[in-house]
Amino acid sequence: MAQPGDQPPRTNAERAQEPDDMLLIQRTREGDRTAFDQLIRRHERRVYNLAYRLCGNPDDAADVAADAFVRVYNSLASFRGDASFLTWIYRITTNIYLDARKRKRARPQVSLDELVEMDDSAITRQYEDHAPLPGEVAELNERGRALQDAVSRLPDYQRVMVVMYHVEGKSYEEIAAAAGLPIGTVKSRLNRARLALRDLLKDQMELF
Amino acid sequence: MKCDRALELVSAYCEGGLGVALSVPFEAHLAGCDGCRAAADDVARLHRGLSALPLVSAPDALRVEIWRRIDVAERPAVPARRFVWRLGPARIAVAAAGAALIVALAGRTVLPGAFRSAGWSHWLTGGQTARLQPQASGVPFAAGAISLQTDKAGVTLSVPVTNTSKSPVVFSASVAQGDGDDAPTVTVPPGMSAVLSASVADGSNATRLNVRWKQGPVTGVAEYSPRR
Repeated sequence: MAQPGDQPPRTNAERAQEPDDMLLIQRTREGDRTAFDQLIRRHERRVYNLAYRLCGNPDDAADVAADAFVRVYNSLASFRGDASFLTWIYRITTNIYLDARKRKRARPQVSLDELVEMDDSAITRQYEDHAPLPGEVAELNERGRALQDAVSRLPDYQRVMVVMYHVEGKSYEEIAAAAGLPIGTVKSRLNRARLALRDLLKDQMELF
Repeated sequence: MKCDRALELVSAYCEGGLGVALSVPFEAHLAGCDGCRAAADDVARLHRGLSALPLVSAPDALRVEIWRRIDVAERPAVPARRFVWRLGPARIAVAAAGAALIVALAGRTVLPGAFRSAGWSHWLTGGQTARLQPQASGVPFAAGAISLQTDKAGVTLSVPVTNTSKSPVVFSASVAQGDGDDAPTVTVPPGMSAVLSASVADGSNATRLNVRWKQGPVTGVAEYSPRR
């Protein structure tokens, strides 16, 4: 079923005519903002999905995904193309998520009633309604909720592995490249993460 | 093989990644260990469940928000007090319109003789008009120059907007002290244009021109305050 934000299906001929990521990166470096816009359109869903599974909520996920693209935009000069663009932005997304988690742990929570200082006035902080969007409703089945909840309770280093392998379909080699870790470490972390998930879901295993 | 070692290998076994040298003793261990056999079964089911989690869609406004942040980072010199952006209820849909507008001052305006209004009189009598000029990057509308019409009651400011997106956009404009939420709205279909108008009465304390837009759950507010 089509989801909000989906791009219309492309034909093979259309795909063949699309410039590859490196060409778009080169055009962006030369000042062509429409080229970067194409990169955003091409990868925003995958990047947002990674962020969503890491963060566990759409608000933080959008924040992390947006920051990831901005960091990529500002760092294109240093991208050598050793790994794919998607692997590179996955690594940046993961790092931004981990940094945000560190900051959140080190910072007290803000009150909903706190006033936000603006230019010449103050307004009450506003928060997004977290009611699921229509496209997310189908995903919110019992098993999906249980899994997402359990994944969200994993330690960060395990959560990153689980999301990249299972949700993003990355290979061990790709995860190792994105995380900057040896493949053996990735495999052992994933194994421990699955066993931890089993413990977290021990009362709900009948769902699977 | 002991349980600790078997549990280390359980994922590799579920993925078919154990060689014969390890799979034979591993399976022999499972045959005699209910706990490890249950663990292998559970991990295999979790493996399938995790890999079946669907891709969620990115919010429509994500791209707009990305460009807003890029634009903000690239234009640190824009004085904040002249162009203020507020967050709408949907946080990721921050006032994207603001990111797409550049104010450039030019031209002259002739005012009614005794016009007095906080801020605006200085701006107007200073002989300035403001131009809202859109940039590219996924904003749902384009805005033209602010034009002025004067009469005995005061000044009316008008801003032409064109919906450049594929969904209707609801606009309103007001000149007010605060947000001006009660301003009348106009819904502009995709590809269509409208002129938003707001009035400054003689003696008004209004200090801002607010241009609000809403597209589905996404809202944004562009505020323009005249130079004092």
